[in-house]
Amino acid sequence: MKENEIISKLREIVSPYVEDKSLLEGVKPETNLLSDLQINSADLVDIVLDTEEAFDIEIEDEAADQMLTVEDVVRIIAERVKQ
Amino acid sequence: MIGNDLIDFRVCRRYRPERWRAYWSKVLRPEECDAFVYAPNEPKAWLYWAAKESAWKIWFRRSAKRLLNPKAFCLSTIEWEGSQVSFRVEGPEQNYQGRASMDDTHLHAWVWSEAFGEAGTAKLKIASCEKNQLDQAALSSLPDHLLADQILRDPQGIPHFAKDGKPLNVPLSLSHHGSRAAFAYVYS
Repeated sequence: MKENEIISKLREIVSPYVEDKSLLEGVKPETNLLSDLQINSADLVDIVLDTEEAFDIEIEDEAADQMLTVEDVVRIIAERVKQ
Repeated sequence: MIGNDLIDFRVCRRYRPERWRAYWSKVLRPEECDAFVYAPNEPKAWLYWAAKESAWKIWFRRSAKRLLNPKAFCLSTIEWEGSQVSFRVEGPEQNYQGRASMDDTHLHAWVWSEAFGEAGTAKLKIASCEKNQLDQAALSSLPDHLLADQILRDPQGIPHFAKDGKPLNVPLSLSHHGSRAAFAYVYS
């Protein structure tokens, strides 16, 4: 799966958890889920679950811990989709 | 050090039973599961998240490590008395004691490191307010001898009371969820 496809799908996944939708317009690899998209920390667990379901992958706790920025999430997804 | 977290039940998601189980499987350690007897969407369950998040805020302030894994923190010794609860949180390198207060719409938890001791929280200020009034509410609650004119957030997002741009040595924790916010600080 290409990176832009992952990002596009990821944008759909996080959108319900972003209160100010205008923040999604400027999403970059270094965009931080908590501080830039202002996602509530409790919603990160839901994002992990939604990502697992959308990409049919399993994200271990140690990897979920690393999901801070968009590029972090893309990397984790890409590593697991290949498998 | 003090950490706090506020849960606004009015904006919490409603989970189907299987999603509820999946959610908490990502949050709870095996040793926490026996005590986690909360039905899907039962408000008291959110104590687990609020307590761990509160402890994480202290941990992050000390270590600057963005350890987001809730399983790094383990909640135990939970004692409910009506709408109030006390508990203990075991975390990386240190443990915490905590309290929480719950009503129909919110749960507010606050913790302090055991090394700090409960005596260290003798002068503890906690309160909740509307989200858009958070900074002003926290500033106006300060005792007269503590002069601060703003709350600064450092590059890590950690808040500090400040006077003329200089941070005060007053441990401060802020939280917001939905339209509500809460603060906790310890003063001397």
